[in-house]
Amino acid sequence: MTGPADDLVLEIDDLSITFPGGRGFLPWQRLPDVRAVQHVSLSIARGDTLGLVGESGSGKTTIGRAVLRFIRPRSGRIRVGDFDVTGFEGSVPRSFRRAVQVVFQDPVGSLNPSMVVGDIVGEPLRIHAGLSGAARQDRAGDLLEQVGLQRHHLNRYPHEFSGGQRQRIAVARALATDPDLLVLDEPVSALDVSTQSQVINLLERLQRETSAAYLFIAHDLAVVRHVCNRIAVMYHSRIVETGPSDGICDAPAHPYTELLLASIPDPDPEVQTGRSARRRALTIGTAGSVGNAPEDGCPFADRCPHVMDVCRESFPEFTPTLAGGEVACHLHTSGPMLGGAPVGTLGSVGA
Amino acid sequence: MSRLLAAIPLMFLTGTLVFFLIQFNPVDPAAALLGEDASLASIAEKRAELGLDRSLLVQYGDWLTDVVRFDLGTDWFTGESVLTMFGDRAPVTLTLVFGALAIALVSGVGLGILAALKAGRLPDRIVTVVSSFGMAIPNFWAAILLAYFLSVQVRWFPAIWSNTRTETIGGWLHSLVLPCIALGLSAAAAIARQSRSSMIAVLQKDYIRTALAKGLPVRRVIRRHALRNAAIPIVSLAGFQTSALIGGAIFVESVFNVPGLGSLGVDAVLRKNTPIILAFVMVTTFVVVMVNIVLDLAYAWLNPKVRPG
Amino acid sequence: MSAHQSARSRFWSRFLRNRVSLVGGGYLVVLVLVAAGARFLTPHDPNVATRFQDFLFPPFGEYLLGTDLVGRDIFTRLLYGARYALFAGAEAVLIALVVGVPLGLVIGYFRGWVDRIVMRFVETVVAVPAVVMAMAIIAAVGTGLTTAMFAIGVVYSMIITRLTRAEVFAAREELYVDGARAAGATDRRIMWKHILPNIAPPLIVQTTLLFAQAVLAEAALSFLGIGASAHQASWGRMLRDAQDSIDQSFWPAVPPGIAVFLTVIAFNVFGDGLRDAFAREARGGRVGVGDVEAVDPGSDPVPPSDDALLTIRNLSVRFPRPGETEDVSVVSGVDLDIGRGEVMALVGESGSGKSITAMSIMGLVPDPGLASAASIGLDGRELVGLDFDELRRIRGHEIGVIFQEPSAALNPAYTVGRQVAEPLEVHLGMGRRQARARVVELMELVGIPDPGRRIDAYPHQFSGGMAQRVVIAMALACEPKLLIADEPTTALDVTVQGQILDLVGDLSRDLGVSVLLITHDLGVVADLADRVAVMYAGEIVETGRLTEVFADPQHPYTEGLIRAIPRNEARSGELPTIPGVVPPPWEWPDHCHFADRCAHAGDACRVGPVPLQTVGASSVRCIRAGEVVLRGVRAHGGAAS
Ligand SMILES: Nc1ncnc2c1ncn2[C@@H]1O[C@H](COP(=O)(O)OP(=O)(O)OP(=O)(O)O)[C@@H](O)[C@H]1O
Ligand code: SF4
Ligand code: SF4
Ligand SMILES: [Mg+2]
Repeated sequence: MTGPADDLVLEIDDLSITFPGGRGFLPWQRLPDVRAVQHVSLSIARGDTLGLVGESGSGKTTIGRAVLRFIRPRSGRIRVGDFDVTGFEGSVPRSFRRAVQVVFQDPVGSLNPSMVVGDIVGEPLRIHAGLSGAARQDRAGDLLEQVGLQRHHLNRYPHEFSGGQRQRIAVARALATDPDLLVLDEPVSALDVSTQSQVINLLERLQRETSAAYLFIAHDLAVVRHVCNRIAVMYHSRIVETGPSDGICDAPAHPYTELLLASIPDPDPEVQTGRSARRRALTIGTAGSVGNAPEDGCPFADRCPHVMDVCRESFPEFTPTLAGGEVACHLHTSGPMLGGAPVGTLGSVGA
Repeated sequence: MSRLLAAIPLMFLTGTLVFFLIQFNPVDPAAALLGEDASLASIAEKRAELGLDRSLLVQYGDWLTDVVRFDLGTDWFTGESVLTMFGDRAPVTLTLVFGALAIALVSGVGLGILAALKAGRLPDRIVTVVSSFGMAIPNFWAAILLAYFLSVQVRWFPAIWSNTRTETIGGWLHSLVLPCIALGLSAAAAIARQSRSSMIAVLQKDYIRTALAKGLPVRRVIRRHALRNAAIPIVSLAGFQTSALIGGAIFVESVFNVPGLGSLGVDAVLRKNTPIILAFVMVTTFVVVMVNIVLDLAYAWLNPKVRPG
Repeated sequence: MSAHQSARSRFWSRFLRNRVSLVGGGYLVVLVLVAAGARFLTPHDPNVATRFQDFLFPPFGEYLLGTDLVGRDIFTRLLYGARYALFAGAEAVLIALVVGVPLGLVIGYFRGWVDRIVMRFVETVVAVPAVVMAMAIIAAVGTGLTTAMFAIGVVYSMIITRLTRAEVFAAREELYVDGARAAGATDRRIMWKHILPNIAPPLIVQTTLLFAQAVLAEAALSFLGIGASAHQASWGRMLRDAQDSIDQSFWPAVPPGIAVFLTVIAFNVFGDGLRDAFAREARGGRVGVGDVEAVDPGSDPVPPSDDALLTIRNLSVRFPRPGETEDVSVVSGVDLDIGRGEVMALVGESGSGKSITAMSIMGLVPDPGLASAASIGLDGRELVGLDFDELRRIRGHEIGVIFQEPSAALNPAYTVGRQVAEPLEVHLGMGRRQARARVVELMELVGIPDPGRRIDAYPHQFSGGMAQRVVIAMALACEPKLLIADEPTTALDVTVQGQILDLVGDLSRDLGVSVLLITHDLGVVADLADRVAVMYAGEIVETGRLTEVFADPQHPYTEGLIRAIPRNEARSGELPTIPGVVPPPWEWPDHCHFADRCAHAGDACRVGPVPLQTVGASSVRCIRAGEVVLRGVRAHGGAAS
C-alpha cells in the first residue's frame, strides 16, 4: 500500500492520445486521426489538488478519461499509486476502481435515472466492500450525511434533487470507496454561483478529511485558482504552462495564460476597465482554436501576439518560470535576455 | 455516392441469404412437378434437368453468374423466362406501389402538419383518431370494403381486374385507383403521425424562436424554417414505408385480382418455385434500395450537415 | 422501498389518467378472457357446420353473427379466432424479444467486429420488404400458422435487435454508465442493471406495437393461404373464406375484419399510453407565442423617465401548471427602464425569470405562458395591446435579439447569408441582390473574416464564436433601437467571450443602440453595462447605476451574488456562499422571496409582499435596506488581500 518515496498519487509521463478520424466521401477514404492530447506530463502528490484548465476541446476531459482507463492512450505512461494504468491488459483490476473515482460536470446525466440514491451510492460499497442489505444502507446514509444530505434521501430518485444536490450525490458515490485519487471533471460548471461555492467548500472539507488527491478539470481559471495548489494550462492538445496557482495567476508566463487571465471578467468595474483594455491588446484575429492540433510547432501560434518564425516549426521546450513552474514558449527558450529574464517575461494581470 | 456503392454488396448478400435459406425446404420440386405417381427415375431425370443434382455451391455459383448477366432463370413449371414474366407484371405493381406512396405522402404530410399546427385542438384530435384507425385497418380488408362499397354498390370503379377494360391507359389507371387507396391508407396514417410529431419537435427549436424574433410572418416561419427540417424524419420514414407498401401490394393485388408480382410470389412460395422466389426477393429488394438511394439524395439536400465537402 | 412504489404509482397514475389507453387495455383483457373461455361462451364448434347446414345465414337471427359459406357459426369462429390472434402475436413477439434484446444489448455494448457482422446481416434482412422476407422463410420451412409466425418473428427480431442496439448505443454514452464503470461495475452488471432498465421503456412500447403488427401479419398471411390452415378458425382465414363467397354475401367479411381492426387499435393505443406515461413530461407543440394582456398600472405607478427608450410597467408572466388548477407566476410586477444608448444588465440565477421577461417585451412568451403588463413603451410607442402582426413589424426591425446557443439559434438547413438577409427582405423590402450586398457589409462589421465567401457557408461550418457573430449581424441588420442579448457569451469559451463582449460594446456605442444584457455573470455585467437590475425569483430586487450597485449593494441577494463570484485573487478560508437554492416558482412565498436564504431576515420580512422602493436612480426591494451593512466588490470579505 505504501506509495513510492515521492508520495505521488498520479504520474503522467509523455501521454499522447489520438482519435480515429471519421470516414470521408468515398467509403474507403479515412480522415486523418485527431490529435487530442500530445506529450503531456503531470503529477499530483497525496492531498494535493491539480487544476487542469483550458478551453473546450483542448483535451482536458480526454486526459481525465485516460486516467480512469476509459480510453487507451496511443503512447506514454499513466501511473496511479502502484497501478500501472497504461499497462493493464484486458479488464481493469477491481482494486484500481476503488483507488480512483470520478465526478462529472453534468449533474443530470451522471446519475442513473432509474436507480434510487441508496442504490447509486451503495453500488461501490457492494462491489468493493461486499456490503449488502442494512449495512450498506447504513453506510450509504453516513456518506449522504457527510456530503450535507440527509439519510431519508436514500429512497429518492435523482430527478427529485436540484443540480447542486445531485453533485453532492455524485461526490458521495465517489467517496464510497475511500479513493486515493478523485477526477473532478468540471464538477461545478453547470451550477449557479451560489451553489458553486457550496460544492467547492464541500470538496475542500472532504479533502482535508480524507487526504485524497484531486485532479480538478475546469475552464474557469478563477475557480481553479481558488481550489487548487497547482495549475496546468492546456491549449489545443498541449500543456503550455504549469506552476503554483497564485504564481501562475499573478505572473503568467505563457501568452495564452495571460490572455486567459485577462479574459476573466471581474465584477469590480474599475478593475474590469483595465482588464478589458489588456484583453483587447492581447487579442489578435478572431478565430478560436479550429481544426486538428499541429504536430510540430506551437498550437497557439495563430492567436499569439508575439509569434515568431520558430514558433511554427517546433514545439518549445519546457523552461522554468520565475513563478516556480514551467512554460513551453519560445519567448522563454530563445532570444536575448534582459536583466536576467527573457525579454518575453510578461506583465502581471492580477486583480 | 457511398450508398450507391453499398447497394451492390447488399443486393448480393440478400440474394445469397435467401438462396441458402430456401434450400432448407424438404419438398422436392421435381417430385412435386411430376405429380404423385412419377417414377423415381423420371424424378431423377427431372432433377438433373433442373440442375438440382449438382452440389449446392455449384448451383449457387451458376445462379450468381446468371444474376450478374441479368438472367433470372426460367420458371421450373412452365419454362418461361423469369425476366419476361417479371417484365410483364412489374409495371402494374410498381404503379400500384408508387401511386399508393404518392397518396400517402400528400395526404399524410398535409394532415400531419395541420395537426401539429393545431396541436391539442379539434383538427389535431380528428387527425390523431383517423390516423390510428388507418394504421389498424388491414389493407386487404380495406380493399374488400372499398371494392364492395365503391364498386359493387355504386359502381364507380371496377372491383375486379379485367384484361379488356385495362387495354387503354385510362382504363388501366382507373382500375388501379381503388387498389392504390387501399394500399396507401396505412402508410398515409403512419406518415401523418410522423409528420405531426416531427413538426411539433421542430417548432420547439431555438432557430424557430430566432425566426420569430426576426419578425418573420408565421407562415414564412413555418414554410421556410420549420417544414424543411421537419421533412428530414419523414424522408427516412418514406423509405421504410416503400418497403411496407411493396409487401402490402401482394395482398391488395390478391383482392382485386391484379396480375402483378404479388400473385406470382405467393404462387411461387406455395409451390417452391425457387427461381421465381429468388427473383421476387431480388427485384423487390432492388426497388427498395433504389428508392432509398433517391431518398438519401433528398436527405442530403434537406440536411446540409450530411453533404460532403 | 416506498419511493420505488411512489415512482411506480406515479407512472400508473399517469397511465390511468389516459382514458383511451385504459379502454384499449380493457379490451385486451376481455380478449384474453374470451380466448381462454371460448368453449364456454358458445354452444357451437368452430369447424363444424351447424346442424341444419345453414349456409350464409344472415346475422342477428338464429345465429348471432350468421354463418359462413359452409354453414359454420361466425360468432363461434370469431371467439376462437381471438386464440389464434393472441397465440400468433405472442409467438412472433416472443421470438423477436428472445433473439433481439440480448443480441442488441451485446453488440450495442461491445461494438467492434461482431457488431459490424451482425449489423450487416440485420441490414440485409431488413432491406427486403418484411412480408417478402417472411414469404421466403415460409418457402423454406413450409406453410402453416406456426411457421408463418416463426417467419414473422425472425423478421421482427431484426427490428428489435436494431432498436435495442441503437438505444444501447445512446445509453452507453451516458455519464452514469461511466460513473458505474468507475465504481467498478462489471460489463455484465452495467448491461443488465444500468442500461437495460433505462432502455426498457422504448422496448416495451415497441413490443406492444409489434404485437399489433403481428396480429395484422397473421391475418394477412392466413388470408393469402400461407398462414392458418383451413381448419384453424383464425380471423385471416375467415376473411379468406368470406372473400370466396363475396359475390353471394358481403356480411361474413365484416366481423373478422372488425375484430382485427379493434385488436390492432387496442394494442396501438395501449402502447401509446405506455409511451406517454413513460415520458416524464409530455410537451405540446404549436408556434408558441402569446399576446401581452393589458392590466391596471397598480396603485402607485412609477412615472416613466423622459429619456427612456424602453419602459416596462408591472409586467407579470404566469404558466399553467400541469395537473394543478392554479397558474404559477414566474415573473411578477417587473418595472424596468432602459435609456437611449444605454446598456442595461439584467442579472440573476437560473430560473429567476430573466429570459421570460425579455421575451415578453416582444410578445414572444413561450406557448402556454400568459403575460400581462400595464405598459411596455418603446420609443414612445405602446406595445401592450398590439396584435401579432403589428408586433411582428417591431421584432427584428426595432428590436434585435441574440440568444445563448448560437449554433442552435441558426437554422441548419440554410446558409448563414440567407438567414441574415431575411429581416432585410421582410422589414426593409430589399431584393435578393441588394440584401446580399448588405449582408456582406454586416458580416464585415461583426468581424467575420472573408465574408464574401463565408456568406454561402452553413451554420455547422462555423465555430461557436463565429456563429454568434452571425447572430449579432442578423440582430443588427435593420439597425434596431434595442438589442436584447440573452446570455450571449455563456456557451462560449472565455477568450471568445471577451471578443464578443468587445464587439457588442463597440457596436452599441458606434450605432447608438440600447442593449438589454441578460446574464448570470457579474463580471460580464461589469464589463459592458451602464446600469443593472438584479432579479431573484421572478422579481426585480435592486436596480441602479452599475458602479453604485456593485460598490454599495442595498439588497442582501445582490451582496450574496457579488461575494460568491470567484475572482482572480488569492484567497484564504471558505468561499462565501448563499445558503440553500432558488426554490421552484410554486414555492415562492407571498412575503420577501429571499427570506429563507437571507442572513438578515427578521419577522417583519415574513409579513407581506415587499414593495420596490425608489430613491433617485436606484431602487431596492428590501424592508431592511439602508439598515443592514452590506459589502460590495471592493470590500474583500472572504478573500485575504
Ligand atoms: N414553457 C414553460 N412552461 C412552464 N414554465 C416555464 C416555461 N418557460 C419558463 N418557465 C419557468 O419560468 C421561470 C423563469 O424562466 P426563465 O427562463 O426566464 O429564467 P432565467 O432567469 O432566464 O434562467 P436561466 O438563467 O436558466 O436562463 C422558470 O422557473 C422556468 O421554469
Ligand atoms: S511559442 Fe511562439 S506562438 Fe507560441 S506562445 Fe510562445 S511566442 Fe506565442
Ligand atoms: S426583506 Fe428581509 S428577508 Fe428580504 S432581503 Fe430584505 S432583509 Fe432579507
Ligand atoms: Mg435564460
